[in-house]
Amino acid sequence: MSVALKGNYICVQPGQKAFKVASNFTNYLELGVAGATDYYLEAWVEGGEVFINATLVDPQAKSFCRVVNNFPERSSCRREMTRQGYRILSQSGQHLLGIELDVSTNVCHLRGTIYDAKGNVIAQDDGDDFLIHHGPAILGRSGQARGIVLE
Amino acid sequence: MFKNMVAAAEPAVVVVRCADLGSKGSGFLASPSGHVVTNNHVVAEITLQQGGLTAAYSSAITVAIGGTTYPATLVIDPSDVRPVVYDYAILQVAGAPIASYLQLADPTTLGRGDAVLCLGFPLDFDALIVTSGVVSAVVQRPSHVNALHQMRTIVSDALLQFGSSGGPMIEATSGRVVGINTIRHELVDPLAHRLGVWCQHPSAAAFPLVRDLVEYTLKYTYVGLNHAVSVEYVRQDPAWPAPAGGIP
Repeated sequence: MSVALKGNYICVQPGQKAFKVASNFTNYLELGVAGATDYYLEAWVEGGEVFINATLVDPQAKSFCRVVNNFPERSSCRREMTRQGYRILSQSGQHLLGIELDVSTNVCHLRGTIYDAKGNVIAQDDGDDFLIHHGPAILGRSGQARGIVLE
Repeated sequence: MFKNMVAAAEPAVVVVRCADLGSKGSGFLASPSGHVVTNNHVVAEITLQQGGLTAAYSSAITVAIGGTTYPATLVIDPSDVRPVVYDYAILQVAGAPIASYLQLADPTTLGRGDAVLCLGFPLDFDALIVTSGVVSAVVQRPSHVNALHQMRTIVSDALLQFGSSGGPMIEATSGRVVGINTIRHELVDPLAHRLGVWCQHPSAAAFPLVRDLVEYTLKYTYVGLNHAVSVEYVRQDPAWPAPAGGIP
């Protein structure tokens, strides 16, 4: 039986800083498994600050980019600031990932498309939302406890 | 009350000018090898193009130490966005005799009610201007460049003015630097910008009294609560030399 999980606040209160993922609002998103999948995205809110760790695949250049605590590692990719967020661009200028804070609602919108090394789309934004096509993924975190786990 | 402390700090407080950007601010010597700390917005111009912010750094930075002007170079990585987000810059002056420099404090020990002094060269003053106050709060607030990022900010009632930016906020008990003065504020900046633009517009000439009042207000008044960017961001920068005797 399929279950629709829509419009929920997962480990976050309305009005608090949160990511919008598949119509839900959450303080934590983990896509893939660190060290096991060739892509990885971990986004969380801590002390009102937003953090992202990621291993991003540029399917065109077949290159990887590592982001640690919001900042790209070495010169694998570069970061461009915007007024309310930032974009991660590959060396070839491909937009890999972005984040924009809506200051009126405190909602953080993830932008871009997450690929695996074979070029399959794992997740992508549709303008307003961030849609997950393939698990594993975790939505929400409270201490050591994880919220919704998508296999 | 703080006369001796100010006298000791004065030789290390400098004027920073960027001829190509037309900007003037304050700064302070922070190492025996001539490292100068100031605000990023004193030495860079931020532009918004196609939704992206880029920092264009001045290529004509000078630092005046004790009335003598020296060329200075940027030592932070110009492609690094951290200095822009947290509004700091590290420069280095070559060939200048460094008689004194200020040490950075551990800003995490700072608390509400602690006395602080703000030093700098605001407006058109060539003389060092000292103001004092107490720490009103130490808060995490959105960076005035990028709302996504929070930065540790020391809010105080010590008066600051245009040109104070980049000067040191020092702890009155130890004389160590806890923050980099900045009057920039995300709420006030857009208003000040719009008013400043209007003052330059031909329509402003039709209302000379209003224009003069706006110009006076922009120049000589500002919010009563000012803030300083915590020096912890400077200490975390790869270009920071961690001077001997300072806190690494």
